[in-house]
Amino acid sequence: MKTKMQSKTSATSKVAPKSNSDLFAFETTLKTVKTEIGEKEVGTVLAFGDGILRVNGLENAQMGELIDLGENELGLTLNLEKDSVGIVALGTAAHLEAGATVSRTGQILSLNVSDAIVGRVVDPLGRALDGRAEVPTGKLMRLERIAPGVMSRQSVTVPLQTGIKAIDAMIPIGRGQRELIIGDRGTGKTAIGLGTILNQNDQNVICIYVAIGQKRSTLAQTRQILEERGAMKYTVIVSASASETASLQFLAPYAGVAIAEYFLDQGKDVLVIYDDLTKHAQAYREISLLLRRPSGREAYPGDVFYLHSRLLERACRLNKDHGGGSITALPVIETQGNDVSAFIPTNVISITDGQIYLEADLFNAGMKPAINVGLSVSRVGSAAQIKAMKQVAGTMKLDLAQFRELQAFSQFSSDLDEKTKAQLDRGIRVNAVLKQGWDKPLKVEEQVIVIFAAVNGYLDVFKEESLTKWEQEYLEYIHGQYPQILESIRKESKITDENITKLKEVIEIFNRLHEEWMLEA
Amino acid sequence: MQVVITSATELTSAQLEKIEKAVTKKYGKNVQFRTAVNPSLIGGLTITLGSRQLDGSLKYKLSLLQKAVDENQNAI
Repeated sequence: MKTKMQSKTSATSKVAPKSNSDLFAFETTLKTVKTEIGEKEVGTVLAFGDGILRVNGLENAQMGELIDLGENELGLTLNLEKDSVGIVALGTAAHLEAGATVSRTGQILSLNVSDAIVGRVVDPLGRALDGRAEVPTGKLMRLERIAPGVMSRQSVTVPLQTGIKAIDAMIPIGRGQRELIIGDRGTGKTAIGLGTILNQNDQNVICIYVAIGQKRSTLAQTRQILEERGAMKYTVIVSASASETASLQFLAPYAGVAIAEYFLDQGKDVLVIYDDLTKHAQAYREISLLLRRPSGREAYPGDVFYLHSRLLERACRLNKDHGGGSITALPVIETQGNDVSAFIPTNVISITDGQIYLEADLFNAGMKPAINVGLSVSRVGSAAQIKAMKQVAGTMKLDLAQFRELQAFSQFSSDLDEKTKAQLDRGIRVNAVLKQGWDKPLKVEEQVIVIFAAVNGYLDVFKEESLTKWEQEYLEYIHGQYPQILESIRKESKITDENITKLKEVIEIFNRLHEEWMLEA
Repeated sequence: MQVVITSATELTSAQLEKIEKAVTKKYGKNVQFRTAVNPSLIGGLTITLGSRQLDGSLKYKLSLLQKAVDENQNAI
């Protein structure tokens, strides 16, 4: 009997042994398996439709427990009622019919994470999506975990450099912060997230990109870009694409943060990008409506705030006694027609520590990244900036604030006094310096010397359209001729008085070399 | 309590009697028996007592072996 069973398994098993030594291991495994009579708790399917099962029985089922639906498919309990259990199928579960038997697994929803998950593309249950072998067995991480408590946390002080001048200078993000990226479709929200990932290559940060309800073609493109730029070495992609069931889309962000917590427990710094939470809320709305839960504003269920708050609350910076790791969260929200007062945007704005607000008008006017500096804030503020950046960015904010005020005012009159004109010219140039290609992140010391030149008026003599070229060649020039200035800013995190004088001289010399870009006097 | 005995092939009345006797001995006289045949079990049988199921089918045993092999492959 026993030998018969063994031969049957090896014939039906999907994984064939690769070599003789594997074959040996394979046989030993089969011999050690205990095949006793199994005891499980079962239930009968009363109804099944739209991915929702109503099941009789399963009396002791827990909330959030995985249910075995047979044929290698799983379900998740979401409603526990007096005489039935509401379950969402995590796959299509096409084989199910009324009267079928399902059983408890006794396992709370979790996914397998190990160090080798870095560089992989997985689904919210940890299954490989990149055509490679499954992720090696490591630790089971629960998708739902209580966020770290007050006593284990520390305030955010270490900057997370995005490599984007406008953000690092004016809306600084710290490690452990939650910063919302909000804007209409096609305003460059994803680009900010991806640009930030690209900039982490030497920053010792593990990045997790959670794609919720995205097109598979977009995801393939994203992965390719990250691969080409060498960013997959420190990045994990969690994907529940648009063709996946709503239940998987609903679980994707929790899977992302569960993977992040695996690395947090090792004391590492992690960045998680949720792209985007609007689709996540919609997936949850779909499930809730099908489970016949009462609906509220915009047909979202009553607990949609808790849906996002319990997710984003898991972003944290832990103190030394708890490993000192951090999870930084960059959730993305898509608005309709710049309406930030819709239900989901207001919810997420109130949960996060600030927002980066992107505008279609700015985008169309060629301002990329299309960040509205006036409406964007970071509640952590300059605590998450190095001193050198504080030295230059303070003046910059003032310049831009004055510029915006004057710009609106000057549209009504044509003749302006010299001082106003000068302020306007400065503002235009500071603004122009903030333009940047999304895939061209700058190191913080590079940002500092560029902004230094802009706020100290060294760009006032140049034509606006030649500023991109100026910036590029200026950086090359400094890298080639005076790398010690950059070195000093990087090491001491500030611009020394000595370097300020030096930098001023250097810029003057460089500017004299490029009179062809200057305004005609 | 309703007890369902599912087997891969039709059981003989002698076999059934034996099983029913064993179940009655453990759970008392207050049980109703129902039988069913499900070829997908391959061999052996399952006994469902309310929401508890005792699984002694070949299908279940094979799935245990399959799981062990999969895990083993994964660890390599």
